[in-house]
Amino acid sequence: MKINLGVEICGVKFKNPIIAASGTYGFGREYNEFYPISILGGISTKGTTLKPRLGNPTPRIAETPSGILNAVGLQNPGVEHFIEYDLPFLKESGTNIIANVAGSTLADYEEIAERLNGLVDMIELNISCPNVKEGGVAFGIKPESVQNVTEKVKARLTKTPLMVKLSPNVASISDNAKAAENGGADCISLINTLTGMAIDLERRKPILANVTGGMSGPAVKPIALRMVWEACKAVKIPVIGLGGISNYRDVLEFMLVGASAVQVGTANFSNPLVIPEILEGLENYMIKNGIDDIRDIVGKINI
Amino acid sequence: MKETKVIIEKNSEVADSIYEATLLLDEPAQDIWAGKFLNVSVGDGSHILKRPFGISDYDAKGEKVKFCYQVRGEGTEKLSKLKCGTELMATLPLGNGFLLDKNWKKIAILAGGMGVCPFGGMGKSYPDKHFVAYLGFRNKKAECLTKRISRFADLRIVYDDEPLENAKNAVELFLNEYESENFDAILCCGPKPMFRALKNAIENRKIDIPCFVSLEERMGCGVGACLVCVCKQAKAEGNVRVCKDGPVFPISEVEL
Repeated sequence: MKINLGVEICGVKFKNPIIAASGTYGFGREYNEFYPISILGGISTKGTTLKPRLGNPTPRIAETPSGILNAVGLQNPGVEHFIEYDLPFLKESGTNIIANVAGSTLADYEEIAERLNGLVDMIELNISCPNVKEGGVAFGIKPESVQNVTEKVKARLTKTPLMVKLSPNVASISDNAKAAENGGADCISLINTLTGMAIDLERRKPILANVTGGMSGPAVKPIALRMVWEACKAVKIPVIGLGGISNYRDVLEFMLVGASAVQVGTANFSNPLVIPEILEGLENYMIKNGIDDIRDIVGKINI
Repeated sequence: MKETKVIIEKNSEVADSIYEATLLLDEPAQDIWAGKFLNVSVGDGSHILKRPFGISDYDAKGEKVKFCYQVRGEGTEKLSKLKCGTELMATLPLGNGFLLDKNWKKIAILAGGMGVCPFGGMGKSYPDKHFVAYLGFRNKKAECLTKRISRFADLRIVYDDEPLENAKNAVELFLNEYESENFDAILCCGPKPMFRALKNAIENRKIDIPCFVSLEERMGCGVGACLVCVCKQAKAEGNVRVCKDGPVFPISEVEL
């Protein structure tokens, strides 16, 4: 039986629906030591800003039941370093490159979008990072603001499709999904992390130096799944699902509620080989269940 | 560096809340040497992060590794309850480890508490070097941690609860002997205050031999991708990754 894992999202062909999630995978070099990253459908790169950022003080991570909190704070080498040093490596790897970009001001977002226009396969707009004081999630909470930043960035992207990454820390995920669509997003991805906190009881202090952080991992999966389902009902553009995906079954669940593709993030920390294992699991599942095209699963939930 | 199934061969308490574990690797690892670490699951799905531990010993074939750990939180608590024969997943070996120049003959090791553990394999990695170890422990209960290092190094030990007349800690112990010993390099692993004391002493006493510290930090991926376990560089803008660029750094190059 010949199996198709390929999907097409706003004109970009992916060899399979598995994308490495931003912030968990660097620019691909480290995991390329475990397996060739060419097997990925795509890679969403570490959130990149115009200028280099040092990020937050440590500790930047805390483990919580079936999850983690992180407060890295967008440490990155800046867009010029990305273009010069990381982009050639990623191009060579042969996977789709989704550049995740962030900024402190609207002008930052516009400028970085213009700089990367035509250089990558897709831009993922990060308006949902909970770990930086300025920008980030500030643009991603109110629907009007989501629409506004999406419009401004879209206007600069004459060659590259735009994916808008939504925050779950909002009043209505459907409203924000629609706002991104109305702003001209070619597709959306969700969920970014949920804001959380962890305490060291003995020292009576927060574990994270940043006090709060973004929660991810299997613990958030039911929330993510519900939000992806709601977003899929709210918009006509493709939806990329993420949040706690750690095996092939999770992937299929997100696709059943309507996701065209998924991102795998925190699971890479637990198991560096999780992505190749997911791909193998998907193929085996499809063979066993007589499904020859992964696209036939999308949105096929029975309610 | 690889991901492999491991089987617990031994996992026993060697002192109050301190354990030593031996793991059998399903796939042998060829590139282990002293100062590298492993990232190991704790056998419970709700603890999704592997725990990083310095490799305290290994066999020549790369089929077996040992590490020591102190029960500090839920993860190490779970680990301490695991029985022999339990299967876990591990990523190893990780980090740069101690890289010693072939011309160095005499090396000073400074370690505080659990910081002695990553030095356990030094005698195997560098059998022809002369090591003198200056060790500080809270009390005599931790003495069992010196078993491995005593096989290849001359030991000088000080206990917090029994300070010596001329030395309250390992750094002072070292400084008392430094001028007469002719060391080629210094290696240090312990708590942050120990690093700072050593850094000050190096500056004040104008000690000009190479000095390296092995850092500890809360980690995410353990392989350099997530940028969680960073340390500020002392001489340049930017951070280094403890897991991938380290954990061993020249003491002058990191902010402590």
